Amino acid sequence: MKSIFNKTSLLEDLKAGGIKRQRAIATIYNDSKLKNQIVAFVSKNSGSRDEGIDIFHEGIIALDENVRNNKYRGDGNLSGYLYSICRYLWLNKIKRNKRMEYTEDESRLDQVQYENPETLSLDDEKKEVINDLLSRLGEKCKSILQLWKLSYSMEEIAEKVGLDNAGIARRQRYNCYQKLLKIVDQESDLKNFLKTS
Amino acid sequence: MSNQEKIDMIERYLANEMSDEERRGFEAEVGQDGDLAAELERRQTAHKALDFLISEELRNELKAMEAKAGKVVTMKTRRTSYIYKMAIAASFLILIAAFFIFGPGGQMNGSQAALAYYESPDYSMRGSANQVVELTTGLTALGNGDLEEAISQLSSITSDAEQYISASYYLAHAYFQNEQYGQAHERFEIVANSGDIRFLESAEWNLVLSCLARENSNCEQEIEKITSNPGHPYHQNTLMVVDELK
Repeated sequence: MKSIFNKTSLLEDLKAGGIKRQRAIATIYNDSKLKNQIVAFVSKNSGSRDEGIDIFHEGIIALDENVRNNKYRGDGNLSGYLYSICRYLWLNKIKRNKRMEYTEDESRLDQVQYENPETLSLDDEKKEVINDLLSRLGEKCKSILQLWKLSYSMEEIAEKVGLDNAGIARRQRYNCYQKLLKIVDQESDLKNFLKTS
Repeated sequence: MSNQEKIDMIERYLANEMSDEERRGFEAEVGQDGDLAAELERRQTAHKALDFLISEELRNELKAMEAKAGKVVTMKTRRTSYIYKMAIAASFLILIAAFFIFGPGGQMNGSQAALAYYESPDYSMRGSANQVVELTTGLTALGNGDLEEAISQLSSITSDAEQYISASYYLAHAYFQNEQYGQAHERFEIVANSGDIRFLESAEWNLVLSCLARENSNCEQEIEKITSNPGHPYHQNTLMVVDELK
């Protein structure tokens, strides 16, 4: 069995970060068959098409984060993994909202092998607070740190952010990271909100 | 261990750069060293904050892609074949995806461009009552990602069969997905030369991609065929690819 979506290289590309991750995400996003399966699952279980698409997006976000942070221990079948994440997310949502008209056996929810990443449980209010706190970094610092976290090289960061060379990017990265640590030290909300999962 | 060494170790741990053995050793040390544990927690929060920003950005990008794709779906309908409409929709999706991956004015080689712009066909829409069993089985295998089986079934349909062109079109896709770009190119060429309007424009576009996917190949002829025809549904796509390759 071999398909574009089942290739282990996709998993490696997500882990590798940088441009490879971007390409892997685009490949996943363009898997219309999987997307339709997820939308169909949500539609059959009290949801709308738009909610199905939202869940597909949230699933991609969670998959990306789990793979990058080594939380994924599967065999490379990302398609099955993404489906199980989306299923988990949707079932939790309808349970929370007491909008329960579930067509499958609820006990099967326990079989889903999926760890809930931190960002998923944040409500909009908390997200706004976190965004507000992190806005103190400034747009340039945010970009530099995100690119660094996604394993872009200093040369690539310099080019993307518009810095003269890798050396300047390295120094800026250091300064921005110190700035972020200062925010962490000053704002206990940030730690508390990001800890909840 | 100096403070700097501790910080380096924490960052390596958070970046998943440690072996399992190193990881276990580090975690044991954290259990015994309160300062190290505190610094780890502080930096862990910073990394989680960055993950949060990355997730927020990805969420916005996915929404933007979806919104743009949605606009294509609601465009004024024309009296054109189904595949023509699908081609236009697919073109926009690919353009959006390519922009998302590489940003404006990217720098790709031919192979990268081919992979970034390639789209799987819709396997489920082509069935017909008198479809030969190899085509049905081949399409099912292709839809399931079983490329070896798809290639085996589809390539068994000979040139005298009624559905040879359909089979060749999907066989070309199976070859492409299996990274057999030379064979994919040959089959897309057969389909393009057949003039079958169901697949013609898509085959011409995929002919460009399968050509680009091969190392050191000259694809001017394939590209020219589309760029010289502004009415071609893949005209904009091809111009984008050419631009990316500059």
